[in-house]
Amino acid sequence: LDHGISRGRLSTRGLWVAEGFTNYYGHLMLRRAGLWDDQKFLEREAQTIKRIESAPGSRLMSAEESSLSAPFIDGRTRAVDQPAEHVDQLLPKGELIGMVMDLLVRGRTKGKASLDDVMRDMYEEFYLKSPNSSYYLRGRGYQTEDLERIVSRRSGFDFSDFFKRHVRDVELLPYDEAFGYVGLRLVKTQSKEPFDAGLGINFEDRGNR
Amino acid sequence: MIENVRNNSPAEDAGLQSNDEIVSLAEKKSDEDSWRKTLARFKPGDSVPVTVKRDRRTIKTNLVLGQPERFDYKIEETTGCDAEQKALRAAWLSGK
Repeated sequence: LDHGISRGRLSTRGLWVAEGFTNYYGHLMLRRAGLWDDQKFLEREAQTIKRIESAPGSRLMSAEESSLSAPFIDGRTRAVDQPAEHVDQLLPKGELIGMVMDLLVRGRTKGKASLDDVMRDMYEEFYLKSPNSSYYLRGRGYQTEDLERIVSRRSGFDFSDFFKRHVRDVELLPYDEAFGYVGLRLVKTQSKEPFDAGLGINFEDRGNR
Repeated sequence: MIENVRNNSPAEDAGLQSNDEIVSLAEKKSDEDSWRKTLARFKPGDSVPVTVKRDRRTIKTNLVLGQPERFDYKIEETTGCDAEQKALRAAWLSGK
C-alpha cells in the first residue's frame, strides 16, 4: 500500500484507517506486550492529542480529506506548507479516532465488544470470506462505509453520526465520553510557552543552504 | 529558516514567509538557542524587530506576539473511579 501511495497511484478515503489504526495498535501492542506500562501508553496518547489539537490544520481538513490528499503530498518534490500540515496529521488523527472509537465501543457495550472484535470481523468479511479481487490478491479490501457498518453492527450502536462529525467533518473527538468509560479524563493546561508567534523554524537547515 | 507560517498568525501579519532565513531577532543574531532566549523576554502584545533574508533581499519587520494558543494534555485517573471502570480499562490495556 505504502509504495503505491508514494508513487501517487492510489487514492482512498480510508487511509486514516489503514495508517491511523496501525499507529494506535502499534502503541497499544507495546503496552499489551508489557514493554510499556499504563503510564507510558497514556503519556504517548496524550502527546498525540496535543499534536492534533494544537495543529490548526486539524480543524480545516477531515480525516477523509487528508486521506485523499496523501498521494499528492507524498509525491511532492518540495515542501508544501499548509497541505503538508494537513496530511501529516493523517496518522495521528486516525490513531485518535481509533482509540476513541475503541473506548466508545467498550463503554457502550459495557465491555462486551471492542475495536479488536471489529478488526476481527473486518478480517473475516473482507479477507477470509470475500472472493479474490485479482488473481493474486485475496479479499476485496474495504471502504470507510464498511468500517462504519461493522462497528455499528458489532457495538449495537449507530455510529453514523460519529463518522459524520469526526471522520467526514472536523469536530473535536468526544474525549470526555470515551475516557470516562475507563475512569480517565483528559486534562488540558496552558503550555509553558508564554506567547504565540505562529511560525515553525528549522535551525538545522541553515548550514545546508 | 522558517519552515511554515500559520494562517492568521503574528508571523503572517508581519509578512514573514516560508523559506525566509532569520538573520536577527530584536537586533541580535539569531540561532536556535538565542531565538528562544530572546523571545522569552517578551510577552503577548510586544513588538519584536525581526530581520530575514528572502532570496537576495534583506527584510526588516516587526513580529507582534500573540496570546499563547498551545496547550499541554495529560490523561489521568478520575477521582472516584469505580471498579467497573477500572476493569474496563484493564481489559482495554491488557487485551484480555
